[in-house]
Amino acid sequence: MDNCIFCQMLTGNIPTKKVYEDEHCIGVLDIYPAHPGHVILVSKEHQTIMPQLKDEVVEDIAVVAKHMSQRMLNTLGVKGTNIYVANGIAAGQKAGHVLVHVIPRSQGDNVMPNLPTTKLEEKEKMIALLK
Amino acid sequence: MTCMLCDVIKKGDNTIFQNEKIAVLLHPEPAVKGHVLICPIEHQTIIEQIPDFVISQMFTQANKICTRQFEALQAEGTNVLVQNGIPAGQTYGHFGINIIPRTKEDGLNLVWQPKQMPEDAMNQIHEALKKAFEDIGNFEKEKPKPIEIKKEEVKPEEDYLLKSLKRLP
Repeated sequence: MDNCIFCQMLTGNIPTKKVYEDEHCIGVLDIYPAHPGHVILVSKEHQTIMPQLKDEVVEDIAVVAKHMSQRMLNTLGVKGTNIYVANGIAAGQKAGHVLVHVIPRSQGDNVMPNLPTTKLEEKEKMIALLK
Repeated sequence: MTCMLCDVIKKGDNTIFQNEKIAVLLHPEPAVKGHVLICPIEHQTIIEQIPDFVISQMFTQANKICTRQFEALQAEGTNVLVQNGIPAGQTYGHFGINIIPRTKEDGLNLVWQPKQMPEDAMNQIHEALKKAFEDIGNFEKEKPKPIEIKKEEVKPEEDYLLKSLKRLP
């Protein structure tokens, strides 16, 4: 798409620090990283949210993210990683193109607060709705 | 070893979907209502221990759950979040992918503070990761199951003949 900056990155119109490429996606360094070494995986097909991607694309990106995580632990000396996707503005999505973030993490880096916990209620109803 | 998620999987009453490799569960301690956790059935702690084809399955299931959260729970957004290792927020010793339905007013905050890095530090990391990621590819597919070859039973008659044969001088 012409007005999507991530599509422009794919065509090379916008310069990137590319670290990976295959038939379904590219991996580039996030220029405003949550943590040094933060990579974003950009699908080659323009879609807005992850559920719109074909299974074969999701499968590829998932495994690439796994392998990137492994190599970040070895190369950057970090002790953890996040894989993060935001689908929709309410989820914190800022771009109009699906992005999968792979974020190296170190103890006390304050990248993301811990998830709150609540009591699980209405189990049967929720299972029926989500099936 | 006791693992809370292994117990939840075994008990089965949080289970939305299960096959021989993965379980899709209602999160036992949800951040918000409808929070789902997708786990490998075999107890593994971090993503690096899980075979590629299982990770693929887990993410395609994550996508399906996102769609259900949009459609059935009227979520306005969804987050897919892997917390790999304690510094990344992992709380269970069993790997899982969080699928969190979101609304504008849910009060959750998963957005980080972007950092500005000096150009030379960016270049250094760029080179290091480009090199580290060079060999990514040729992903592991499910291993074919070994073919079972049944041993032919020795018929008693043949056995008898063999014995007789051995007795010959």
